[in-house]
Amino acid sequence: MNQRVNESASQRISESANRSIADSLIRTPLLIPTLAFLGIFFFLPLVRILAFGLDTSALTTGNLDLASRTLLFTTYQSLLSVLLTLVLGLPAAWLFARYDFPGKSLLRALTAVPFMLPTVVVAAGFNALLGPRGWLNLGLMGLFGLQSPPVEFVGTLGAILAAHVFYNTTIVIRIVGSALSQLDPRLPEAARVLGADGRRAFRHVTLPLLRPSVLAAGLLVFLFDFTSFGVILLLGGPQFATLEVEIYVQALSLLDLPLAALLSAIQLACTLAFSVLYTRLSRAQSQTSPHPQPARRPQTARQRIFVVTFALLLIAFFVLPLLALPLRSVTQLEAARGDRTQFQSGLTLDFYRELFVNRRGSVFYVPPADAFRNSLLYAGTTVLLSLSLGFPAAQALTRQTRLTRLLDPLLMLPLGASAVMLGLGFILAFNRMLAQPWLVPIAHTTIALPFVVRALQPALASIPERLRQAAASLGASPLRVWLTVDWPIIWRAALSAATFAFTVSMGEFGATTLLTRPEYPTIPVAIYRFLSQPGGLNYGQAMAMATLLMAVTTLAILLIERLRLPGGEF
Amino acid sequence: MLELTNIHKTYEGQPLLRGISFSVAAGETVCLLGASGSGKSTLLRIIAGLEAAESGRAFWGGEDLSGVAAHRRNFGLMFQDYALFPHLSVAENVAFGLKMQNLAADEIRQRVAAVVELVNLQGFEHRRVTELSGGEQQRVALARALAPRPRLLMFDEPLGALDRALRDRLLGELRGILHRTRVPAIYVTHDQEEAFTIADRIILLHGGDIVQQGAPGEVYAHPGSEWVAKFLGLGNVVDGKKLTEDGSRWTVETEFGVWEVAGSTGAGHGESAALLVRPGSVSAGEGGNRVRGRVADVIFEKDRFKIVLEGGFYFYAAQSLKVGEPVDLRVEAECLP
Repeated sequence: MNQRVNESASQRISESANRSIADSLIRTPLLIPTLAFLGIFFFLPLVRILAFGLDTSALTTGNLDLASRTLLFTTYQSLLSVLLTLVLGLPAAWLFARYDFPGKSLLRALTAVPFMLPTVVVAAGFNALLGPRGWLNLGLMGLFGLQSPPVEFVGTLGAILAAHVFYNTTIVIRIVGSALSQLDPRLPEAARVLGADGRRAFRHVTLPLLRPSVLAAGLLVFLFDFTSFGVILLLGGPQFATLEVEIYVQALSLLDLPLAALLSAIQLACTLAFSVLYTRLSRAQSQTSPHPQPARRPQTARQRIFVVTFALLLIAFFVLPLLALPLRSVTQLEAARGDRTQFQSGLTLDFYRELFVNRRGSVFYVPPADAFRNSLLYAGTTVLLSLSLGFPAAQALTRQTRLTRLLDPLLMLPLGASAVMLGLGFILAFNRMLAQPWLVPIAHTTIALPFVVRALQPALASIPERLRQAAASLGASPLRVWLTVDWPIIWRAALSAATFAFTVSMGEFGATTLLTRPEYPTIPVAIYRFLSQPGGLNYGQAMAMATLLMAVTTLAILLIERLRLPGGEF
Repeated sequence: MLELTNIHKTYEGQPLLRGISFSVAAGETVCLLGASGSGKSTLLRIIAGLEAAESGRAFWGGEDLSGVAAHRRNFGLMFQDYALFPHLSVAENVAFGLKMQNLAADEIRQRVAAVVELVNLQGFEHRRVTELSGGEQQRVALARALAPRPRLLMFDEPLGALDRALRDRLLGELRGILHRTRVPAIYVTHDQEEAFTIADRIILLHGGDIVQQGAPGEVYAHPGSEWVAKFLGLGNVVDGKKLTEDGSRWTVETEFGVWEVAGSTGAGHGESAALLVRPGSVSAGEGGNRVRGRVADVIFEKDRFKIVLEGGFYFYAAQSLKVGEPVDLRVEAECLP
């Protein structure tokens, strides 16, 4: 009797082993379309860039000289940005990790909003606040009767740095903040009992323990600043030539593709090296304390002053640009060209109305309504494409096999490549098809795909097999099983992934500027063109479009935030 | 040396310490014994200067410590789970307090070596503290606390996380080190065996108050209340009702019958009285107070058997009894104040 029970058990085990082999045989082909897609639209362009850039014709002394100068400036501005981001981010991390105060979670969420905003929106926001036609300058000109804007912000290195800090402070808050709240509060206490005053306890104990997380956060911020493009082009101008901007200028304006490819190869090598370093560092810092320190209300007067002033500073820094933009888009602050003598300053919807009026006469005219149509079309295509490629891939990756462990990093690789580089790769690889508008959503899909897979995979993996078996044993058909067990879990992840892909596509600027035909502009491209043209009306229309894009993106961010499964971090 | 007067502290609105006063003499080891949550760790933190009492004062040699910051008190504190600095080596951990005193590198090296030898950690100096076992970490923590030659040493459940055999050995070593260095010490624990082993004086904390204090033998011989007898596990606490009183001899009605005991102050006629029956006073003899019952459980304890009767009354016997067997015992009972 016993014997027989054992036999059937071992039979069952070998059956399930067979099934898991069969399973992986079924699952692996699911990866083929995704890998084929990435092979054609990511690795092929990459190979073309390397082939072009490392060709002897590209390696002239002039080119190498320009490349090293550009690399130097890119590193310089990234380092400065990281430094400033830490200056704001470290106290902010301390604030959020150590203190409780009313509105804390709202303020924390606010600091995270810029990270997902399209670069054109951030650039437009800073422009609306501090640009030559922004609130500050027009306000000062009105107050003191000045003829020209007194504050020079757009076109300076300061503008680039400010935007970088605006973007990446949330990274420092998240990484260092979590290390801070994991820090055992008894360690600095032990130091104090051993004779260290507050300052020395911080220097000898707290600081060294936070160092790995500060380094990791700094490196990640550096990586983002190193490859930033839209912010530098829109706020700094082409004279601030980072690698990204130089690639763009060389490829698009000067048509020196070998030099652009050389710069791309250098950039790729740098980002790869930094990514490896970052992975090492973030692995080293996984120290968890058995006594995490809870956040407390500020106790002493000094603590209260710190909390209040720093919270106000953060509100000012993160709210003002985001508020200046929509307000500027509905406010007439200066006379239109031609009638400088008399104008009414006040609320207006003219800039929005103008988006739908087909004015003739302007030279580089971009019909704004068309840009909306294009962007929506591209985004829709990106959503469909990236979900139909991402779904089978995520399904295949739910089970860890030796093969998927190998393929998983391959799927994530596009995360490390910059958008401008991808655009250049497309130009090099598909130069005959450049007239085709469908290259844009394909580039967007390449960028969105890793996010989509990362959003879907944990959800698919979270569906326990036993639940399916239970449903099946209760008499449900495979379709019913899928509908009752899988679908309720999947739809949230799918919607979240779709929103992600949509947001990426709507805001994508770097690859799009290189690939898009002049007659098919997207919203970010149109905003860029409006901003680079003179006149209050063009400026106002840029503000209006950027506001609409910001509204759409913010809604998407909120939706993703609500759909997020516990533990499903991106 | 150390004197506390009337220390009060509330925690989340609940009173935690309600007027604690005691002192520690030179070279004395005082043990704060109490259940977890009785506020003993908080009391240590107040003495160390890491937390402020709501009222009451601490003095050292007559000097008021109120305005003295933690890093100026020169008190050593060994934290529960040790709180070793994970980024420093064993030697660097031990040297930390000396470095904070701005001593010369040479002197630091000598004193670290001496303390490392005192706690038997030779050869471990350059190891990372995260690689050490629990017992080794405990020694590093002790060495770190000893190195700056503190005026007072405090231990917060220092052996709590260790297994029993290691605990017994370390406790012996710790006792030796305290006796040799003659540093006054406050030792916080919830484990009465630890307390009885190491303390010159035991202070029992319960409900935010000191319920009893005295030398271990004194506390053991004269538990101050029913709670003390139960907490220390001194024996069976039998509830009874006082019937008559003849001088110091009382008759008390218990679940086992009417007993005659040596009375103490307190209860009047008809009032309830708690009696303590130490397992050592239980014998097979004739006469006296009797306990009759059936054996419910027999537990092997190395050189003896713990016999538990139905109803929970227990005693020790050299030979095992059978479960279900009836017993008839002579017991001595004492009245708990």
